[in-house]
Amino acid sequence: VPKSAWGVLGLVALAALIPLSFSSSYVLGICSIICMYSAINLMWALIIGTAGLPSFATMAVVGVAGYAAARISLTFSAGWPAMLITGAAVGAAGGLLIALPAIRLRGVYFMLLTLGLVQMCASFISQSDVFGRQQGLYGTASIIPESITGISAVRLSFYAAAALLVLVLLCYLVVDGGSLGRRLRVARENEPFAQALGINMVRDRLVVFVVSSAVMGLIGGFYAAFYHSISPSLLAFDLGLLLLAMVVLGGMESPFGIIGATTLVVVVDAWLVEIGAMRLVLVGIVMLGVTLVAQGGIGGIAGRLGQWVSAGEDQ
Amino acid sequence: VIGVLISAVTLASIYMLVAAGLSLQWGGLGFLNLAYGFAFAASGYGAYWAATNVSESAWVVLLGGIAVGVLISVAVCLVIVYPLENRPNWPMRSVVAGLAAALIGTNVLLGIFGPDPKPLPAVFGAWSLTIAGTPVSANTVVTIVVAAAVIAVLLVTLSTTRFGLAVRTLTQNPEGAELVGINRRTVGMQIMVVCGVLVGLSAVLLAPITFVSPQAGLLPLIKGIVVALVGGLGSLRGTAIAALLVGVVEASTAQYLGSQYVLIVLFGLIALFLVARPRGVAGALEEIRA
Repeated sequence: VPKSAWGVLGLVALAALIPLSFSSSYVLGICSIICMYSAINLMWALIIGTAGLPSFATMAVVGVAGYAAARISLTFSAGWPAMLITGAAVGAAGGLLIALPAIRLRGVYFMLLTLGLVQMCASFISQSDVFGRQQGLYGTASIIPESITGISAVRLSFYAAAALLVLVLLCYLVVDGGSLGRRLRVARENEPFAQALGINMVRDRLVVFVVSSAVMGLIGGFYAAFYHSISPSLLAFDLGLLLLAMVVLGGMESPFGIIGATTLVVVVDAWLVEIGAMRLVLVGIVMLGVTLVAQGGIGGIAGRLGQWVSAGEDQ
Repeated sequence: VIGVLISAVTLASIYMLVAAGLSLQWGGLGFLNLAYGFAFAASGYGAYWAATNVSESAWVVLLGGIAVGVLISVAVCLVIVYPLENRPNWPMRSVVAGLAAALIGTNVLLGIFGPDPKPLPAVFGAWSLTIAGTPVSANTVVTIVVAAAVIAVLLVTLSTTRFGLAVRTLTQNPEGAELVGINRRTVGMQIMVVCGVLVGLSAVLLAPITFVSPQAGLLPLIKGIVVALVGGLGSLRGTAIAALLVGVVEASTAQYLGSQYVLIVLFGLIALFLVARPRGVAGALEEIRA
């Protein structure tokens, strides 16, 4: 049994226990946010960690797919399955549209182009009547049947978000642990070597970009159905930065480190809400510190501890 | 048409100043400074503070903005560039560190000054010129003149002084620069000071149009990046041409299609341009020369 299987089982057990131990809708709401952000971050990690493509387009894909799903739901009064499918389809199409020209560009140009893309989408959406300008879109279909209300509705939403996270985590593990992940890592570390092995780098990078964008789009559609609404704040520069901080803290290549870091940042963010903007300063300082001192983030530290422990066992 | 042209040149001037700073840092240090937008916003507050607490004279306000810009740039150099240079995975880490600095800085500004935009007084006077029947405000005239003068000085400095020679050597061959005795740290710090002056200057020039706010630096940063990309990072001449191009596209899109399409049109053009010319205008210039 691979180690990560235990991690997945542990996560499922934890997710099953949380609604039994907390009955506050506030806490469950925060746990749901952790699940959705973790899911986004895992897919982002597949692109910047495993494949080593410095892409910042994540929130553009999630946001645009979410908006498309909300628009479909409002215009055709479609239910949540249609929203998820729309989100995934728009995400895949968007990913392909970004990746086809962008993969030809070298590192820094790729990074800047995707960074600007988020701003472009944010500025268009917040000025477009079809997407509700600054107010966003309200009253889309919900993932919860109307007959369920009150705390049971909150519980059910949390279970839905947790199920989403587990599915996305499995997707991450399959891609990252499979031969595609291995080929991508070889290409990331040493391009000429990858070429000599006959690895089709362009195709592999295209595949991982489109697959993860499709999943990000699905998460965007889920997000809109979860809140029955979507607003331009999903594409705000600050939110993108906060999510990047989580990925960096988590160590970019460690799925459980990323989920841990996401939990940490969301909890700190909610806990210190009274101190206002200064809590983001704190997050920024930790992010800067991790970048300057340790590359692996939380996952890297845990990995080194694991190595140290197993080294002890050998003696 | 004259109005569009003037607006295009004004935009081009500001973008040129921001993009020149980004391009210089990339060329000389290999550092893509994403904390530059924060330095822009902070310089705006420096100018605002000087205008409300010292004097509304143009020189004092400019000095306030430039002083803060230089201060932030030097801090970024000490905290991010010095500790991280020559370490593994420098490109990604320096960018993430810059973003972290931007996150810290923007929220410090938000915590101190609050989210409301602050107006900067009309420090360059309320006079205006009339060109071909279109009135042009004092601020616009000053912006265009100052930006043109600064870029001219920068180009001459880079091509004639020892500092310029050092920067160009670093851009072309960092190892070679070390061999001929160029201290990367010293020149790097000088570059960051120059960039601090540029960002302070552009913040004060743009403030009368966009106001001073914690997020004020984001759009100039994005547009500056676009210009630097199209120009080809590290090339000042490419940057100047690209700034004019982007200014014309932006002003005419805003005039004839509506302002919500500005970024879309700009990005469509840039994506096409970069796919055809992966190294921007500078790459195209090199091909013509070769």
